[in-house]
Amino acid sequence: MTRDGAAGPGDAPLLTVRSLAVDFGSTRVVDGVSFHVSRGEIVALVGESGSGKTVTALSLLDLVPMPGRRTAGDVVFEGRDVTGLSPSELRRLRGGGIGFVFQEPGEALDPVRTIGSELVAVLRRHRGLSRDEARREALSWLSRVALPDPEARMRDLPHRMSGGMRQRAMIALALAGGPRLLVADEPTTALDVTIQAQLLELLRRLRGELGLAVLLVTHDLDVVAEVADRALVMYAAEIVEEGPVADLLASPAHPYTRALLAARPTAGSGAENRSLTGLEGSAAVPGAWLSGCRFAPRCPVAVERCGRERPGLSPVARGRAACHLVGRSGT
Amino acid sequence: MTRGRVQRRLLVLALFPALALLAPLLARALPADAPQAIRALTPVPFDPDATDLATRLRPPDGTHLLGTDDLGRDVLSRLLHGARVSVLVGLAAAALAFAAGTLLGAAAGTLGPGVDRAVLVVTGVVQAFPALVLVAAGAAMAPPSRWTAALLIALTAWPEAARLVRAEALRLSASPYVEAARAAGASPARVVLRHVLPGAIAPAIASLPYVVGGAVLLEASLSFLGLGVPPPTASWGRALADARESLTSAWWCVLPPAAALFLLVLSARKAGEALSESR
Repeated sequence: MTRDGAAGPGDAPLLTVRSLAVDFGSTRVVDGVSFHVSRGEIVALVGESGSGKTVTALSLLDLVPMPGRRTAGDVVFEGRDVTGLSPSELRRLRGGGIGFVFQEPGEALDPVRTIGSELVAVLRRHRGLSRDEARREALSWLSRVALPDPEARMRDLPHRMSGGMRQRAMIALALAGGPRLLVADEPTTALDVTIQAQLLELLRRLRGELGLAVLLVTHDLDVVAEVADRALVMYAAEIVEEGPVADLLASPAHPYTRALLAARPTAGSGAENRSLTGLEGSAAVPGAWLSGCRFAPRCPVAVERCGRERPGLSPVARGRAACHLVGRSGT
Repeated sequence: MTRGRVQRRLLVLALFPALALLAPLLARALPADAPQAIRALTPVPFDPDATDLATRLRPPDGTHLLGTDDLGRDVLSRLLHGARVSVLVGLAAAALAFAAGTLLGAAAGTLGPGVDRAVLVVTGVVQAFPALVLVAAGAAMAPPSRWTAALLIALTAWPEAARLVRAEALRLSASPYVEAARAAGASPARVVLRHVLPGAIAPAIASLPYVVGGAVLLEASLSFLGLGVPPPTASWGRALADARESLTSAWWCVLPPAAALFLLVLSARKAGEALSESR
């Protein structure tokens, strides 16, 4: 498979996001978000709903829905700033450079178009194949994502398939254009756990086969633990902690990450007897943020300084965290 | 509303264009030596434009089934040929309006606020004027023909379909599968035509028979004002205008075209009702 555009500087990350800000009217929903994704890496973007993770993902393709607007920052993919692209370059990037898998496959597939016709359209658009070549390639993609009986699936409308099959079809669609980065927005949330495990396994396999980088947007820490190499934790439009998944789950630095981990139901640890440790208060409402740390009102260890002064990301172990208390107390 | 009923009503509506298309066969002057078989298949053996002042304003009888008009032309023959103008212009206008309206509506609902505002302004302007005034003004400037009439009527009739489709398209445009199509690099044209239009077109289809009815009436008004198809071509609107002089004495000149218009518009509405209720 040709990987055009892969001629970027050898060690530069595939994707670099710098100080990204997105506003919906006067409300800021993504605020100074910076991160990178390297080739072949699976990075998880973790957060509650409303934390800005989906908008962050959409802005990689310049697809933030109206009336949202990117107001600051750069998104650099393979050495080129996404905002500087012409409409036709942008269309090549969408599906050709970055593939996107949506949360609810039942709603993200056009109800009146067959999987085959959608795949053929993507293959012709991004890979310049003839109709016949595209058909053959479409069939091979359907078998690649392990859909049973690809010939029959080609002619199927989405409603004739199960949720798991649809999500496999979505993944085939997202990858058929030959992207180097796959952005998956809650790809397994709408599916039951056994299907979820199969899909995560599929993602891991495809990463190996294609050298694919994956940005996995999720609120599910079990999914993160399962597949991701590195994780970014978002709270109230900001990244509050990032680091290798193993470190992050074993010794979270930020009180919010700790709270998320504590709120996770764990099988076989006497979860029935122990009530789940919920997080006090509710997620910060965009636009109603304090001048200090946005997590301070819910933080069990907040000190007076937290209400005054916003913490920046500072190094901790092999990652970074935005908390005044890390590095001081050593937690 | 049952499926059979919808089909029956659409069939009744389809009778009108069928008669219009067959008019040159059903109603035509036959040479004196025409074979008996052809004579039997031609129920109205009169040319619609042939005048005969000796037989002017004859009431219906065995020869002229619906009588003759003030120039001695056969009313039934002119009625059948008039359908070619009234029905075919009405249908052509509705088809044009449907095509333009659905495309503009889908584009307006899908391609963002700039396009949307532009389309809305134009629909607003068109809808703010009485359609007849716009069409009559256009007809006064353009060379009169049935295609001019169809085009002008379509120009006033498209906003209806555009508004219906736009509303659906706005909803679909924010739906995950349209967003997914964009994320897969689909061009704006493809998003509009392949992903939005198929899902947004249904209300416009249901309103199509009403548009046909309106277009037929508008064509009749235009012909009545003498701005439609040029004489001597028969048309229902012109027949009504010609019959004004003899309105009180020769009812057979007025009633047939008026009844034909009434029945056509009624069956169009009935078909429209059936279509929208069956959804």
